Amino acid sequence: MESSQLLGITTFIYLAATFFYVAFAFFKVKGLGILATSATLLGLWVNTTGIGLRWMETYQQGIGHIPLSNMYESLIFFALSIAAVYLVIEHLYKTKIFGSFVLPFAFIAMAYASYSAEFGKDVKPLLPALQSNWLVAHVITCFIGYAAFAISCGLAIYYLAKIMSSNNQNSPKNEEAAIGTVSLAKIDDIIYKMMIFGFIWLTAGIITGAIWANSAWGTYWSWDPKETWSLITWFAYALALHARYTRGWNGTRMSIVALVGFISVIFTYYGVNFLLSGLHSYGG
Amino acid sequence: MTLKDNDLWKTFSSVRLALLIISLLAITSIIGTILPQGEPFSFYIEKFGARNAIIFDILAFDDMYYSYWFRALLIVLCLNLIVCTYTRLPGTLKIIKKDNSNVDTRKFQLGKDCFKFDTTCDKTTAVGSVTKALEKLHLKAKQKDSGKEHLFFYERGAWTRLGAYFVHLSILIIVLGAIIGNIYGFKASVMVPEGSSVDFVFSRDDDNKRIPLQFDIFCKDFNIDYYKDGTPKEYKSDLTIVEDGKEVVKKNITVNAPLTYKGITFYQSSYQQIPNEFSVQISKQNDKDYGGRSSQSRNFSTKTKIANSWDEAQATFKIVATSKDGHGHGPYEILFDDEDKKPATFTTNDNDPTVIKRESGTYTFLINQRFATGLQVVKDPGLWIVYIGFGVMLFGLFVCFFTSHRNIWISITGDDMTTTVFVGGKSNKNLHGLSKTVEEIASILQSDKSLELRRV
Repeated sequence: MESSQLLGITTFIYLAATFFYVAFAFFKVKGLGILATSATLLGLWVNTTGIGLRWMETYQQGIGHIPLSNMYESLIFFALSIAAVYLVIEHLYKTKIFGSFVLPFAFIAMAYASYSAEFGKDVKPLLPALQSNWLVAHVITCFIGYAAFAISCGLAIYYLAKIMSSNNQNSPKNEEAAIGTVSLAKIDDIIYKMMIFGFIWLTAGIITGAIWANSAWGTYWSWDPKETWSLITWFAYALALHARYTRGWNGTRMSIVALVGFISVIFTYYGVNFLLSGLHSYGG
Repeated sequence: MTLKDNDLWKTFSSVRLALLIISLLAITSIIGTILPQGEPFSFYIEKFGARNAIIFDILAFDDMYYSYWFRALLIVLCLNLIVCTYTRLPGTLKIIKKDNSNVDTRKFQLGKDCFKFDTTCDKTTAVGSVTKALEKLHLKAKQKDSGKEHLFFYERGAWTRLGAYFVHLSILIIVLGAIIGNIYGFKASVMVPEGSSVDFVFSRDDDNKRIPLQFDIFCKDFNIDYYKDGTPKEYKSDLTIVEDGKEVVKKNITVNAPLTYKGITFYQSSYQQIPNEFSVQISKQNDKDYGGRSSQSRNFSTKTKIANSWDEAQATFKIVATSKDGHGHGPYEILFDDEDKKPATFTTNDNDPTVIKRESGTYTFLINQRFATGLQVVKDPGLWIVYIGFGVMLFGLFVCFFTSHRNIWISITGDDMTTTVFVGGKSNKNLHGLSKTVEEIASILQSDKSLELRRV
């Protein structure tokens, strides 16, 4: 079996997981929830196996390297990070209600990786500039950060949907009535925590990128579009964290910030590679 | 009027200004990612029209990250950070140094983080139980006995209130490192042909100004390795640093593995073919015995249509033609002769050892297009400061978000009839963790049979 087949299957598992989570949210049947979590776990396992297999394939072709070197491989790792971080949250907060808003991100990332014609899926040898141990540190830190931001965005959508569907415009502090199993205040808190988590990893990602750039090109910062957009994203989340800490931003406002922040993430990740040109053109 | 009443000071000490500046930095930064940077004026006229080009020029949009207004934003952000730190740090230090054991625990609201118990045991027994419970949880608490009250006080991580200061400091450290690099360092480049050395480089900032080096940098060899599919695998330069006529450092540099000597780092960045220059290595396996030596070899540096002779082996050769595309590399047509006096022509390619069998012996002929390696040369004395800044930033973020300042009080009061045990805590962050610890202490005390606590 080839890695691309396994990863194609992963796409459908994440889709099924999404479906189960949505069904669970509607029918509140315990079995559906267990099914949803099991599907996510299975998806994570197949996803990881797929990456491992692809790693082996690079060695079989005599160009062995960790499969984190282009858009296809990064999307697959993105999906894996989302599923993994989500499962941790589900376990920590003991609720399955977020799944229907988070798993779609893992599904979309996988589906886009598997079915887009914009980039190649073949195992390609590493260009000289990419041959560095910093590649691993840089890509992994960035994508854990991106995954956290994706989850905060998913929860923000959930939060906004709840606010809009109920006529209750109260701030989360007054809103103690449980919706599903989780109060609005709790969702707000998790959105914030995911932003913090993502922010730390994004910072680590930018720093490892800077150190790598210095070891390859002799400059840790060159205002390349990718670098600049990562900084814009960093600024966006820095703003959100300060606004919350000093001005008490929360609830609807914080959810909108989470959405805007994630749009910036998407532009940093995807937009820069396909809409702008620059040093960081390995994605295509 | 003191400094702190000054309006400008007030502005600079506000978080509102920080939010504004960060927003402006984020939004304006977009311009430079959309508009190509550092192109000549004519480029912008051609692409955007004369009027827009002039506007771009006035606003320095063509080089915005190095423009005065963008730097001014960065300076304002730094000043803001400095003033904010200056005005807020004393207050934070006061909180850190404050003796938190002097609180009136009776004023605490009972709830998740505060428990109160009654027992008929005497105070001494209660103190003993609490001591044991804290030992079990490895919590080192101070004790105070005022006669009326025996107080256990545990405090952890007061200093972690400095987390945000570390992050803000790290930004200033990074900026400082960048400024030092800008003033005392340089970014330069140089092409070094194979087999040659240079003792200067060309600045990339000030119109290709020549920067002398205190040593020579010699490139023995430049090589490109390819993958099977033809994409480049490795660019490698064999470099030697020669100082005062002595070889001091020798290293093969590749794209991610530069060479540093005396604070100057050489990065593999590009390469060039040197037109009509070739290096040739000929070696000969002697069939006859030439003075006891069975093989000999020699290197040549040559051009096309020039006769080269190797006197020892009585051999001559000439590059008659290079590839038909005119790019000056292989396949090459070589005219060869030796003591046999039977001129022969053969074809060979770059880096492709070709064996020539002659009556007098067997020759191996190796030809290579001569390259020059392109080196990026950087001196950045601020780099380690920037890296320290990176470290401080990650440390600060960790402290900010994963540590907390936690206080736990256990007060034991009582008269002859009943003893009251109060367990309570406060934390600036991670309230969940605090509740857990307080609950743990409470549950250990509750399960202590000698105490017989009743929750109030």
